[in-house]
Amino acid sequence: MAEPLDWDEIDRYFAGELSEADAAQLRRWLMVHPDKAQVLESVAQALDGTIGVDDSGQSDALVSWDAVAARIRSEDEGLVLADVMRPAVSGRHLERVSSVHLETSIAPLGTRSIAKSRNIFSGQTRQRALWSVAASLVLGVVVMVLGWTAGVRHVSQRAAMSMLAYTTGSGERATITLPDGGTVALNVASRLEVPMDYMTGNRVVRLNGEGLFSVPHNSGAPLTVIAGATAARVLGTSFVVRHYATDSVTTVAVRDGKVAVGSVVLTANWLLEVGRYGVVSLRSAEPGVFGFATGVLTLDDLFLPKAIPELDRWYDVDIRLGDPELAKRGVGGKFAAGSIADLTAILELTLDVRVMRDGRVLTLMPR
Amino acid sequence: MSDEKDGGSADQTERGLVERLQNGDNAAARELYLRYYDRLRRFAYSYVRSREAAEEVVQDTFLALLERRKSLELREGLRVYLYATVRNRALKMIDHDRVVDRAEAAAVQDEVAPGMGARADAPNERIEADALAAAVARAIATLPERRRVALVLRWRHQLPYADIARIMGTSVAAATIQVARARETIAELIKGYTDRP
Repeated sequence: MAEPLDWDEIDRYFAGELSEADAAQLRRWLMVHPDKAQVLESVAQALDGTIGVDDSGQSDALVSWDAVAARIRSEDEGLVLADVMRPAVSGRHLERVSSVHLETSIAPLGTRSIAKSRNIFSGQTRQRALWSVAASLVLGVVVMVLGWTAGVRHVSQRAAMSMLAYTTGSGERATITLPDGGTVALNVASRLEVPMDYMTGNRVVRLNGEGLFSVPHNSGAPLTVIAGATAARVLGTSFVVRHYATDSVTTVAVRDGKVAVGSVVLTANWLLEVGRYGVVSLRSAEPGVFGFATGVLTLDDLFLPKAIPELDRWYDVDIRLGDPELAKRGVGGKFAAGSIADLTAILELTLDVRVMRDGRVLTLMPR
Repeated sequence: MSDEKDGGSADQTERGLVERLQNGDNAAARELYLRYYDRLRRFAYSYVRSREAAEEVVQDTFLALLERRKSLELREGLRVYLYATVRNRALKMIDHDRVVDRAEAAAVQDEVAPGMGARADAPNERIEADALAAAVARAIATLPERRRVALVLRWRHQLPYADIARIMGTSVAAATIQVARARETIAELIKGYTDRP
């Protein structure tokens, strides 16, 4: 005869209301009735919808808390969230966030001068010269940090932890060396936050914008890059993460090695787009995706409304359409970092438009 | 989960953390987040069926809590507030067509995933287990939202009926009835599996 489940007892068991002795007795009964145990397991899984949330743990919680903390803007309200303190430091390329200690191990190699000075038609000679300039500017940046730090000791009293935040404006790019020797080529209009305790295990960095990460292999704990609501985890690899405020998706593209994004493991030359509600697309990564790090922006035949934000950031300009009909035109190809005059020439040539320039504002008019 | 029912010192500790949170203590906010993160994410996931969406619901819930921490009156306790907020946000989110589509796709995937890639060589037991999981998933899916959430909160989060009622905005008696009816529905729909010799 069948021995049916006692649902009243099951109810109290699941609710944690059975005595320890009764619970143990039920467990023993289930051991000799594996089919019934399977039923209960299936019910529990169906209620949880556990598929997809099977690797939760404290590490996930910590990463998640970091993401929450990064979203909070609460200094003025009195809640001290040390790792998200953002004192107003307008105009500074390198923001020192909250510590009084100087991190000489973190050497920012890029400054506004680097990207700004590179010319669309420049060759390697010019590039070498600029990197040389950049190297000489490192000392200047460090001095600037020291000077600014001295003025924010009151901030550090409120914050126990700290981070370094590197920012680039439109038209700027920079290469950042992480404490473990890894590098991040930061694209235009981007911000990277690196925790001060990075070398003691807190290898969670936050990115707003786009960066090409080159992380050394065998570097111990995985590096986690949080961009938007997406976290990418790696042990050692080279990959791009992109999430600008205007992007509806976070893009992760792998150049070599492996990167885990949620339950998806990306290998070399694959690109994943993650949207608000999960994976949007998975496709092969075109080489152009990684090109910004070497000064080349690649656009894949985008209509102007899509292309303009990219070009605005890349050249630090404000492109406007003088005629709505122009929105139907597309633009694509490779754009080397360069001057506004260079961009103007390219736009006039490829779009067959007249460009009216007023400072950094470029208005496109049909010919 | 037994700590849920211990009351006493656990509740006292939590009340202390909430008080510190409301006084602007960062460490208390972090501690509460770590305490609730996993269970709230599982609860959110039971609605949205997307890891990213569940994560977003939990983060948004805590952000709302932190933003309102000074003015918030947690008469029903933090736990009830958090679960109720997660439920409301998850329900709001699944109103969105894309999430509904995704949840349906996930449900289909849930049904086929256990046997994928192994079905040809799987023994009969495995095939039966897959069929059982699919039958249970269908049974749960037929439950109205209020019945399902009442059962989830009691069976998977071990909350007392009083808290379930507060989270759902109903009476204790009504919450008890919702759980009982959910049980009856599931028991009836999977009778073929549970009554086997």
